[in-house]
Amino acid sequence: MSTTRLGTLELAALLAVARLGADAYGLAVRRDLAARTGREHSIGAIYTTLQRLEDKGLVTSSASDPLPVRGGRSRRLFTLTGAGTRALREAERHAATIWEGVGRMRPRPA
Amino acid sequence: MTHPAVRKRFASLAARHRDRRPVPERLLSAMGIAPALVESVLGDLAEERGRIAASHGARAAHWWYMREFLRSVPPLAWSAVRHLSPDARLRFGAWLASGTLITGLAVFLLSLRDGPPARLVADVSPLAGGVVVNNVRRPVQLPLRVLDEAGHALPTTDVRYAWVSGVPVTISPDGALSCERAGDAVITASLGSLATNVRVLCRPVSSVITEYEVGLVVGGPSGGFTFLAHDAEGRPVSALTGTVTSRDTSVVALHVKEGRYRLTARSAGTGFVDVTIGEKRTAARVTAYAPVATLEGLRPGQRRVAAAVRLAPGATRRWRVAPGTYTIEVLPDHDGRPMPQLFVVEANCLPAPPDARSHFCAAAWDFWVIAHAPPEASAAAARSGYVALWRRD
Repeated sequence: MSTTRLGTLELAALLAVARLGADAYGLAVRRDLAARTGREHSIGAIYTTLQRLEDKGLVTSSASDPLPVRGGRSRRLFTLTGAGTRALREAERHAATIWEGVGRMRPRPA
Repeated sequence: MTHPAVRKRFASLAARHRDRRPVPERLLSAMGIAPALVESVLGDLAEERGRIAASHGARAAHWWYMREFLRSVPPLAWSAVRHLSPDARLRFGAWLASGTLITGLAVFLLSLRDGPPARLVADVSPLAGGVVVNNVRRPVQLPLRVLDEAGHALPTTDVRYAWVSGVPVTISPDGALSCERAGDAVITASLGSLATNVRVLCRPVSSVITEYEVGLVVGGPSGGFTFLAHDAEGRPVSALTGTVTSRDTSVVALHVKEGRYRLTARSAGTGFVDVTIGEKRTAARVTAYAPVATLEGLRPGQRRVAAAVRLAPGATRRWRVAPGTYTIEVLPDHDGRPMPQLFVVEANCLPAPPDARSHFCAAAWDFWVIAHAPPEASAAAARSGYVALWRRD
């Protein structure tokens, strides 16, 4: 099985797509990441990251129905693929492996 | 009848003129970014702008949009470069190059712009700690520069000067300075709110003397070059300002090392070293000799030649030289040993002025040039140097 290498932002965006489910589009991913990391990535950076994930086959994108407002536009929605799900599991395993043994060093909760 | 190519060009320009898309969209498209990506990014930006406008007002929303758009351009542009066709890459490269060129040009032009005066700087002699004046009669311009904050030199025409203390000097409002007698003075230079004091060292020089003749061999050791300056009473003057130059550097090169001048011969010939201190000038003649194995059988073109010689105590070396008129001298070599004694036999010779280290000789027949090392007790007393001939006729 081939391992897909993911950058930090790629992994965070992939997780956001997984969390947001049917509502995963650029702005929502950005808000989700900002809420969790405190860092506001530019929309351009979010979309180029999502584009990279799509190129790697980890997500697919499709146009939503037009928004129910006058002149409403379609959003570009992203969905996790099977490969994307596997990549997330792999990333989790990898993280667990490299963190193994370090947990004992964590300070005890008060 | 219009040429089809011209019609096509006009149609393209007209289409571009009719393009009513918003500027951000046109900008991103021009950079070769995929239309779908442009639409998604701008759509999301517009959606968030609407939300911000509702909560914080249109002005805040506008500024947010501008900031976010600018932040989004670099990753989108990079993505375009990585993914799009060679055509789009070329377009982007041209875009980037022209942008860089325009920005660079603007920065360059801005850096050329002069600012207001910020500093007055006098070009003082670092050794003397002031401006040295060696002139006796002619006034000298006080060397002062006006600089802006960036270090650009500005006109000095509005700088005003005045004597403050020390020996009396005459200084015009525009900085022409004459010393009346030897001593130190302080001059103030001012421009608007800027002012600086300049120490002036009046050291009048009435004469400059140097070596009259210097002989060097091409490839041989360099020779020290010295000169002396005196005031009207004949006392030496040590604080000097002026120039020392070689008139023909292809014959003799002038070097300065640790404040001392040295001369090196580059090719056979005659050169001059000019010394100008204050209003006084002098020059030294430098004869550069070509090295040869022997002084015998010289060709007509060989006018300045020198043969290396090394003699044990009591030894002699002689050369039979063709008739003619010559200056003959002995010069040191790299070894720095004592030089051999020089004798000229069967020619009419006079010691050449002013130091008599050389001989001026004339001979109607072949004559002998002899180098001799006097007998010494120690073998270490060997002598070496160059015997140099300058054929003058």
